[in-house]
Amino acid sequence: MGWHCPKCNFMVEDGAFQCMACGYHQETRLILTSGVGNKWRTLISAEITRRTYKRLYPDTEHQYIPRNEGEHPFSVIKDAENNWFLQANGKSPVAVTLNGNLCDPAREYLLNNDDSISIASRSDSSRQVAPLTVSFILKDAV
Amino acid sequence: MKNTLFSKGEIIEGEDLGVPYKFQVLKDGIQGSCSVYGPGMDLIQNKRVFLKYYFDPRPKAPWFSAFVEYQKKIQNRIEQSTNAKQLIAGIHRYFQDHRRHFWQAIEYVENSRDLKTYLKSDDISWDQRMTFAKVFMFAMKILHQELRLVHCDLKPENLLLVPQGNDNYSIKLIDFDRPILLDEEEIPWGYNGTPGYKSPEHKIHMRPTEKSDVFTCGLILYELLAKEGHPFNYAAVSDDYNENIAPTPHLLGTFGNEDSDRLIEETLHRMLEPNPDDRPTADEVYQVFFRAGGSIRPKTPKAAQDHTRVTQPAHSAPAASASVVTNQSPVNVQALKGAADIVFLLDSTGSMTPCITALKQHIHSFIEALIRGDESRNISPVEDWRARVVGYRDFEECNKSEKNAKLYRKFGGGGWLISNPFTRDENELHSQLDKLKSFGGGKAPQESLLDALMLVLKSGFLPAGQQDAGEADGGRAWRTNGVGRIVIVFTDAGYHPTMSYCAEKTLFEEGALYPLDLRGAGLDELQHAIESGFFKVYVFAPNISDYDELSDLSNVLIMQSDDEDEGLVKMMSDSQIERLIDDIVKGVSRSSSDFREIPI
Repeated sequence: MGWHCPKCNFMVEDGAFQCMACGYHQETRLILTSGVGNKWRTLISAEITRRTYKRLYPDTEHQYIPRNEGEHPFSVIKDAENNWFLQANGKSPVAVTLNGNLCDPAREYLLNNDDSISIASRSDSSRQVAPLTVSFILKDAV
Repeated sequence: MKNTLFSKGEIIEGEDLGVPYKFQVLKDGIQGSCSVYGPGMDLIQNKRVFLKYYFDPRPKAPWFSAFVEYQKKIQNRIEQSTNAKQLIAGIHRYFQDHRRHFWQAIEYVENSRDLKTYLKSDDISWDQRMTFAKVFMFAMKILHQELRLVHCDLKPENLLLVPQGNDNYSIKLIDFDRPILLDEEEIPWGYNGTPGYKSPEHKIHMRPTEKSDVFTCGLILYELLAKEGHPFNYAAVSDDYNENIAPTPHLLGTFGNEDSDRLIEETLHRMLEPNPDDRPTADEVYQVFFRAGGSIRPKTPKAAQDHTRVTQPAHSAPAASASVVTNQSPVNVQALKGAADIVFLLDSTGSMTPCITALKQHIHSFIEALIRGDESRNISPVEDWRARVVGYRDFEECNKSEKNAKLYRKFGGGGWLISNPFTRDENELHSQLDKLKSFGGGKAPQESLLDALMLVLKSGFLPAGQQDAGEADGGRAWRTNGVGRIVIVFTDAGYHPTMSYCAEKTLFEEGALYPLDLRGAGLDELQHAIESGFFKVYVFAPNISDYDELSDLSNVLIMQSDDEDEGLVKMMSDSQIERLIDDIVKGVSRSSSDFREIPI
């Protein structure tokens, strides 16, 4: 059936969150899924901390994440257009990769379905751990 | 000029290929280059249409039949494309009258105005201009890629904007008289076009291509998006413009960041390259628009690029805010032992007066117990405390109208959130409680507890080691590095299960200090804020089911009473306070070294 874009009235097919004509984004919750299948979700911008990783990787991998406040590896940011972005934290001792590419803390990276976010060593970004897969659900979906 | 072939009231009636048609002309037709057109009515289907009668080609023209077939082919392509049907005013039906003249009855686009009218009246916002540009280029991509045709006669008059309410519009492309199908070799009837909107190659009668459309789109986008407007002043010199000297455009607004703006300006300029090969495709232009704002964009706010995001309320002095209150803490700062920041978050609606009074009575013993500790039970004292009082009510109710806002201001001493700075002075704490006026609420109310809690948690953090923010942050920021961060909630009501706070929707300065939009957020987001900030939340609440889910959150302890009237006050008895303090000091004494890190 699809949905009518409130901005340009284009009929967008079911399952798509973004109007392909004008780029309008439906409001979504961002979901991060860990390699062990644990999920974490949010509707608002948030810092991804060691605590978040502890939910996602309760056994070992969360211990790669710095414990000090302000050293969280990255944030997820929702803008006014309902786009989700990743922002690496330059003050964190660990680096972040998006789909294998090192993220520049001075930039924000648009997040798409199935993107993969990993924690990487600052000295060798090819050493990546604790991958998270990005997905979205509509704000009001259960 | 009145056209006798197409006059108001005229009935066009007959049968084509065995199918009857009957239309009434509603207004005298307007003569175009090859057709006469105007609104009409399909009397068989009782539907308003846009009628178009083609006097060129005439039925005797050698290529008339080819033209009719060609038109049918175009319509079939439009019909088969779900995307195109939405972006093009569709054909209701076509037919040949008894003299074999060709007619089209086109979808009548109600309430529409063309882009030229909007541009003239300057009645469109920058946001609308951006949206039109995106949808227009999406439509062009569909024309070129899915329909495989070149429009050939693009101009602002052929872009209809249809109001959808809330200042939003849908777009319909019109005038598909003589487009060029890319897979047709011969076009015996020549190429349409409008002076001032033809590409250089079109002007010298070469066959227009998709890149010719792109050139024309470039001209229209200059008019729509650039300060320069139409780059060749077509109104004055129409066909004589020099296509080699299109100025670099300067956008009327921004697409979100400088990188995107520069890319769009460059792209618009490239669209007007004299050599078609040097122009981008419609799809490339669409992609540039679609990604404007960035799949990668500079971090915002720009001034804080060397810092992570500043999470403190926006009221802080702009220069000081990034440096004084931040979520950053240098590594290896000695953690404070036995230090706690405590927020008393009180439901401040009408029925809470006894509870606020009871809290005033117990605040001294609470602080005494806090700083005393209990050696016999190995509980360390909290030697360094700061506390503040925050009152909350119903955000939506308070911000529903100016009238409500005035009432809250007059009788409630503020808006839905009454916030105070941290203090180490017990008298000041008393005074903060004194200032809290019980107001609002109602029968079985739900208050904005989750919103208030979230704003308290998101009040910003002081740099590690810093003990006070002074004036810079309104004194609300939490200390970091081993300082226990505690929120104690007192309420006698339920709470809205989803948050509705939005800085832009608040009618009060106090509420607007937090530049956040929490609309729709719920317990998931609250849990994250509690966990990531290492908060501990105690909730004194009535025994209602609302609190079942809240009690599932980690680091949240709910203390409930079955006594609806006196419950909350009784819960402030010595034993309960003792239990609370026990828990708090245990938390504060906990070493933050209960985590270890593994190097990657």
